[in-house]
Amino acid sequence: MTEKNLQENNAEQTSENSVALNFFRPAADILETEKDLLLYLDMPGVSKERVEIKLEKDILSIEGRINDQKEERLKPLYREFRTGNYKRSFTLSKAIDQKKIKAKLEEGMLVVTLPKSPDQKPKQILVN
Amino acid sequence: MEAIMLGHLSETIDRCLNRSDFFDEINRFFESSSLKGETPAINLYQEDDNTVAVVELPGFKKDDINVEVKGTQFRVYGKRELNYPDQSSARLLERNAVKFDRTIKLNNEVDHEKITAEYKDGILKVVLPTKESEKAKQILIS
Repeated sequence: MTEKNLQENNAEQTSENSVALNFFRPAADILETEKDLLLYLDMPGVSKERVEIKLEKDILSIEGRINDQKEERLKPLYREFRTGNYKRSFTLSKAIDQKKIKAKLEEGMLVVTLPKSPDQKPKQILVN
Repeated sequence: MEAIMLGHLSETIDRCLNRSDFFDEINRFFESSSLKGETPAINLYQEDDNTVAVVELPGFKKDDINVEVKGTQFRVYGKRELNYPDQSSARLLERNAVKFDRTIKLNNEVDHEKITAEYKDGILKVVLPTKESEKAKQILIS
C-alpha cells in the first residue's frame, strides 16, 4: 500500500503541454489512512457546480472552472495572479474501490475520498 | 504581472528581498494561480469609483481571515491550517499551512463606512469605495 495507489497521470500532461490551454495545475496533497486515500486540491474561485470529476479507465480527471465573467468588467490595476481553470488527473490502482469515490468542496479546496478495496485493507492475522 | 504599476513595483522589489517571498514570486510568474507559497496573491481592480481587492485563499476558514484599512493601507492577514486525519501518512505534499500578513498601498483614500468584504469559494473580495473628497469632479467651464 504505497503511493502507487494514486499516481499522477503525467502522460496526459505532456500531451496537454503542446496545446495552449488556459488551465492551471492545482496544488495537491495526498494522504493515506487505514481506509482511504484522501486527495486535497486548491482550486480558488471554483464553485460546486463547476467541478467535474471523471473516472475513465482508472484515470481520475478533475476539472474546475471559474466564473470569469464577473471579472471582465473590472479594470485591472495591479496583478499578482492570473485567473484560469484547473485541471489535473491521476491514475488509480486496482486497490481503490472506484464505486465509492466521494468528493466535497470546501471554500475553494476540493477533497476527494478514495476508499481502498476491502481486500487491500490491512488484516490482522491470527497466530495459532 | 503585465499590469504592474510603478508605485507597486517598489513593493514587489521589497518583497523580493525577502528570500522565501522571492520564490513565491517566481512560482507565481511561472506556475499557477493557486496557493503554492506562503504568501497569498492579491489582485486589485477598478470598478467605477471602487477599488476591488481580490485575494486567493483556498481552504481557509472565514474566521481566520482579517481585513484592515487605514488611510490608503489595505492590510489582509490570516492563517490556514491543514486539518488532516491524525492516523494518516502523507503520499504527496504540495500544499502548505499558511500564515501571512500583507499590506498593499491603494491609490485612493477609502470611505471606511462603505467597505464590504465577502469570502466565497476560497476567494476574498473586498470592495473599497473611494472617499467622496478624492473622486475626480467634472468642472464646468463658463
